[in-house]
Amino acid sequence: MKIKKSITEKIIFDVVMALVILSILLSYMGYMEFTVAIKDQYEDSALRTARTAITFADVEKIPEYNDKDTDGEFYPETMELVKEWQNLVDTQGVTFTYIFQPNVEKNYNEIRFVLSVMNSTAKSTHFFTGHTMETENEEYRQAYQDIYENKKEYVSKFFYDELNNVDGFVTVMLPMKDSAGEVKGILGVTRPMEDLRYFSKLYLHDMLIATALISFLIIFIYSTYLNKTVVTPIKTLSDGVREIASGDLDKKIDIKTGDEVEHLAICFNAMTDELQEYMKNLTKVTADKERIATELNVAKDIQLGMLPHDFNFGREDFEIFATTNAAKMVGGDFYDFYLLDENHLVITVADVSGKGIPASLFMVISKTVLKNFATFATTPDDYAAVVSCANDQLCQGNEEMMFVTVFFGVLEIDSGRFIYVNGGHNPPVIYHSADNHCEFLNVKKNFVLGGMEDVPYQQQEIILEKGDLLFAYTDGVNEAMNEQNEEYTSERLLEFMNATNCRADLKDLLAAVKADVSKHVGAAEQSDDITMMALRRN
Amino acid sequence: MEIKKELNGTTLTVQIIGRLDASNAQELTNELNASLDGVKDLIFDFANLKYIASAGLRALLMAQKRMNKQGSMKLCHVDETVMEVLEMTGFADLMTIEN
Repeated sequence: MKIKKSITEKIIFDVVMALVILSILLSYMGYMEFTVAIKDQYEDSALRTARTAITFADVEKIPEYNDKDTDGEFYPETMELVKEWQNLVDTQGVTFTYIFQPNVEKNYNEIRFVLSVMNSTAKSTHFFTGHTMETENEEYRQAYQDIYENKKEYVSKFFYDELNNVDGFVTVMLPMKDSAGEVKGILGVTRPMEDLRYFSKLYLHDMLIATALISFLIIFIYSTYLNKTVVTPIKTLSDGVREIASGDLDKKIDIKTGDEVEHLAICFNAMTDELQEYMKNLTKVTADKERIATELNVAKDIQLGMLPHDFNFGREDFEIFATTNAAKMVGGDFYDFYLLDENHLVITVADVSGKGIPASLFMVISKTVLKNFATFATTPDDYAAVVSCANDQLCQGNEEMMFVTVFFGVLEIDSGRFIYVNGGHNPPVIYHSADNHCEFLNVKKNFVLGGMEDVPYQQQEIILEKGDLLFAYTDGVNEAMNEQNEEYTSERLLEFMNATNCRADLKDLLAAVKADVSKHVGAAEQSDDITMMALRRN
Repeated sequence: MEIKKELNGTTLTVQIIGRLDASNAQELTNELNASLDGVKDLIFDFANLKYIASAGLRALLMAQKRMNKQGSMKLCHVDETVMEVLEMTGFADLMTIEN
């Protein structure tokens, strides 16, 4: 993947944003405080001037100051005050010092100048004695009222227009009280704040440059630091992981940062170790499995080799065919057939409980034991005893309680007399050639072999006419399951046998049955061994 | 398959639900081996057993052999298809079945 935006960039961006906001905030706060401090200084200076100015004036003489007659009696005294004030104004650098009287009757909405002295360097309009003007605004009106009625010791007003590039000024107003303490007029001093604008701008300018510089410095140091502590380790980690992913499981990621990245690297190393261990195990297990599978294959071959495959006895009076399909590698089903003598054919179809190796081992024993006892039988009445003896033999040392269901039968070929013992096995299907009809063979429900000692077994017999057919099978047929877990059932088997041509070649007949079972099973896995055997007397 | 056991004094009732086949018969055998000590009457409730394979019969046979020594065993509420298998294999004659 191509990295669109690195971690450093992301973090730096956030830090820059935070610094910008912080520096703007700090600058603004500093600027405000700085402005207030300077304003306070100007106010203090104006107040001091005003307090000096008021010492020269005399409140009782206000009516006399009002006299504009230059030849008048009080003129020289007034001029004396003007002189003193002029000196004060010029040395203190204030613009105006003046006395005025608000019009109380007009609710302080009009003022009248009594006396006014202007700085000789100032270029401003002079307000002469007797000049009246409307009160500038509500703020000033309130100031006058505060002095007259609320007995304020002084009031100061700032005029400061930051936007219009004009220097501001501060006006300090003191009450002029007579001996009775009554306010007779107001003494005002207006002082320009000529440096405020300059210093404020300078302050703001310096502050912004300083924060910008500090920010850049922080960003530079921080990004270097981030690169070293975060980005480089992560890159090392991702390179290492890529190497591991490409198959180098011996690769160890070496990161010593002491943080989550190092922890992640340790986890990765642990993972590769476990992966290696796991792969080693897997290789071993796979090898073991393959060995077992090979051995099972051999076992299967041996097992299949034990079943008779030569169906051609070179005789015209009977024919026989059988097939078996194990569900697992080795199964528990088996069939067997052999001639006791020229006239007696033994057939066996059996199913051992369970599947796999244990079942196949028990199958081998069952088959051997049955055949051994069968060869000792001398008269047709002995066949039940053959099964009974085989049962007792199989019970011995059978701790695992394996058992086998057996259909055991002997055909006397020339007469067609068929004697059989059923040890818990499914009843075979018998086809009567005479009426071209199939039915289940009537079987006694004897117990399975190997389950319990000294169980009685009963034999039965029928006559197989020429053309008649016996079809024996294991429950892998009738219990074959489809994907809906529905069984094929023995009823369907019988139905199929009745519908199909039972005079067909035995190989084709078994294939047809198998095909019908497969049709039912569909895509489902074969659940049990399927063994079928057909015997026809000709 | 699901196995539910209920011990009442010396009577153990085992209910088997579902299918008892080669894939889970060993589980039943293990369960029984673990809980049959001191049990005099073992009752299998097959009301919900839908299918039994030969491996399942083997598990029953093992239980039967053990109970022959220490008490009795019976099967009850046996389903029709299961009964067919039990009859076919001769188990029905060998075991006590109550419905």
